[in-house]
Amino acid sequence: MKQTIVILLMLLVDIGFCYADSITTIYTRGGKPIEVIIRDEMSQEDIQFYNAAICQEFSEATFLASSSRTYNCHSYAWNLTDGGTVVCWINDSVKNQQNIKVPNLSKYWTNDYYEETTSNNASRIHYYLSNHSAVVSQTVPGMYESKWGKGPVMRHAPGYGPYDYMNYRKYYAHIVPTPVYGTLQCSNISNYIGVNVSASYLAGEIAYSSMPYSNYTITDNKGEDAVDNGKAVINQTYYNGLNITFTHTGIYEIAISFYNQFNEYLGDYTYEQIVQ
Amino acid sequence: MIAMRFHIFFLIIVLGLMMISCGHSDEPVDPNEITRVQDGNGKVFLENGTLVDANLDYTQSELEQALQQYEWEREYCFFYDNHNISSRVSELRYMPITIHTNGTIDITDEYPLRQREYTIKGKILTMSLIEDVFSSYYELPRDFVIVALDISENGGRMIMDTNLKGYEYKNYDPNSMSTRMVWKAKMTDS
Repeated sequence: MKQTIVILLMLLVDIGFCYADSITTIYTRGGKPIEVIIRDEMSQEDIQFYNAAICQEFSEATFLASSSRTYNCHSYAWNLTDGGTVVCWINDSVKNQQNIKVPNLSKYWTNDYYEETTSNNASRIHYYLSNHSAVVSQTVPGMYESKWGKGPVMRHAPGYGPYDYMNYRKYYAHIVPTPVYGTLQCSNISNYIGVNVSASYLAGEIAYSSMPYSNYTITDNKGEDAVDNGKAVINQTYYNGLNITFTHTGIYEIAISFYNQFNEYLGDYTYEQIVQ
Repeated sequence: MIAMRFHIFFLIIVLGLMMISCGHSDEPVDPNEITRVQDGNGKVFLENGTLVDANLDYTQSELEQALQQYEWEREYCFFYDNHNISSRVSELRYMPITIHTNGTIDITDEYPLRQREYTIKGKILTMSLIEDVFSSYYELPRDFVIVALDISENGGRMIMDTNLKGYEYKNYDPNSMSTRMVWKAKMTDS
């Protein structure tokens, strides 16, 4: 009841204001477009009113930052606390060109930078029945921090806040890949290869849904770059390897370092090729 | 005198151009140049381009009064672009379906706790979300043009347009896509 009265009072505060809001696009770390709304700020009187009313109503939470209608919980958790520079409001779903609602927020954790994990490993939380998001507090263990609508940013216990169903949560984090080291698989099954015979050298285990990129070196037995000195020709590059033709006999070392789309090191694969 | 001569000269030029253009009437018509029927002269177009009589010259206060006196229900709707007018369409998501006398609007396919209200300025009805302070959802206000308003003793009819720019429907032009909604007034119990 008390909360209802607070909400009704808060509704009255905004009456009479006219805002000029607009839609724009930001991107996840994986490059997916997120439709967002750029909103004008409330008056200082409104901000102070919301700050005071909500702090009074939710005394078990700690006030961290002022109320604002320019960003919401989703933007705070997935955009602004993750290096985002566009202060904006993010809806969990948006309408497409057929006027059908499609996911917007979940792009952050669908084949992208974040993935689902356990509560212990989480950095971000989605309250999936409450349409709410939070981050794990870096300063107070066991607490979450989230923005409450256009109200303030609060530090709170995981199940404490103005929303229903706050015990229904999913946990997300960015999992830093563990580097792997291995041997490239050569399409030529013999230990030797002839001059001017092409072969593919692939790291079979590097299989990511998002395309990794690689740096490669091919060195001769003097340690010199075999591509630069004309002893090796790169015919084709693949997401997981190379196709090479050697033009001179010798022993060559092929080394490929792999990185994911977030510029994180995935591992090294090597192969020693004898060319006769 | 000079002005009168100029008017006669201008009239001759115009008549000449009209005659020339008549001479080209047997050329094939460019389908892109065909434009749909328009509102005007006391008529509005409805589905499939049917023209019906309607009151386009209502005032803002008449509109406000009609919205306060009657509950309004969307009867049907159809799409149009610069060249086409559809027949009635069965589904129009996230668009107003009921306008209440208390100033709120219901839309289709929506989470029931989200409420919307309207304001009127001239012939524009602007629908806005009534924002709960804790809600993480927000939508931009949407404008609807009230094209015509006819009120009678037994009820009334309202014709409402809104831009659907970008909306994909058959081979209609997304850049000039709109929907026209036909509303029916219902007497309130009071």
